[in-house]
Amino acid sequence: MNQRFFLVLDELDAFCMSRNRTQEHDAIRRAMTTLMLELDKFKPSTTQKFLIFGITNVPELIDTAVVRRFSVKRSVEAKFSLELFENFINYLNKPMQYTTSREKAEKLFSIYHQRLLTPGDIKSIYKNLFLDSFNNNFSKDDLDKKIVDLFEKEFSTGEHLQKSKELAS
Amino acid sequence: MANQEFESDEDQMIYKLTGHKNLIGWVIKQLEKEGIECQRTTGNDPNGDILYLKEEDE
Repeated sequence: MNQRFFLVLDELDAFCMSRNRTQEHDAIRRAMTTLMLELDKFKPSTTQKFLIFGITNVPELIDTAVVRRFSVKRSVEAKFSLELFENFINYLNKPMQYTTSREKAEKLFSIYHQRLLTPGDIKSIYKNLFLDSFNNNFSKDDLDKKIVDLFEKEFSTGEHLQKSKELAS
Repeated sequence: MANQEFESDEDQMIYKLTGHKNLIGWVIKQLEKEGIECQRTTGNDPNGDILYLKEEDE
């Protein structure tokens, strides 16, 4: 049999935060220690049929002892090209039956780069806007203005992480 | 929006409930477009805002 099995541990930071940075509950510490002991039982050199993935958006906060137990470490920087960005925002625009013009998309794209927004940040902007549209009859011009405004003011994960690093150093 | 300011608590409640009502209407329309039979519940049904009708349950 040539089957492979995958185990995906999403949000690994939920119970694998660095032991010297947090005041974790004892149960969380025990869960992390148990995970490490279980990971030690797998020998990647003898079997590659069972693969374990640990996923987090804050890799710097994960306990180094946990990180060490994963054979391969990879980071993904999801940055859109202008074309993909335009497709993405027009996909998010669909429920509001609205289309962003090329000119506006270029403006939003430059804010996206400048403010280090992530796809998650953009989805959150559109989610709030969509919910807001149930209370307001936005015209196309209203939406054009509002989206630019939200791109400029709403939460940016990139900026947040940058500030956190500056404070830590 | 979360940072919107309201003159009174009642205005805020009206805003939230209007958004909620319109959102449910929108979801029902989308379900109907897909041919999924459903109806709005009333009486603050603890099971949810939309009743999805399954053929086998009828």
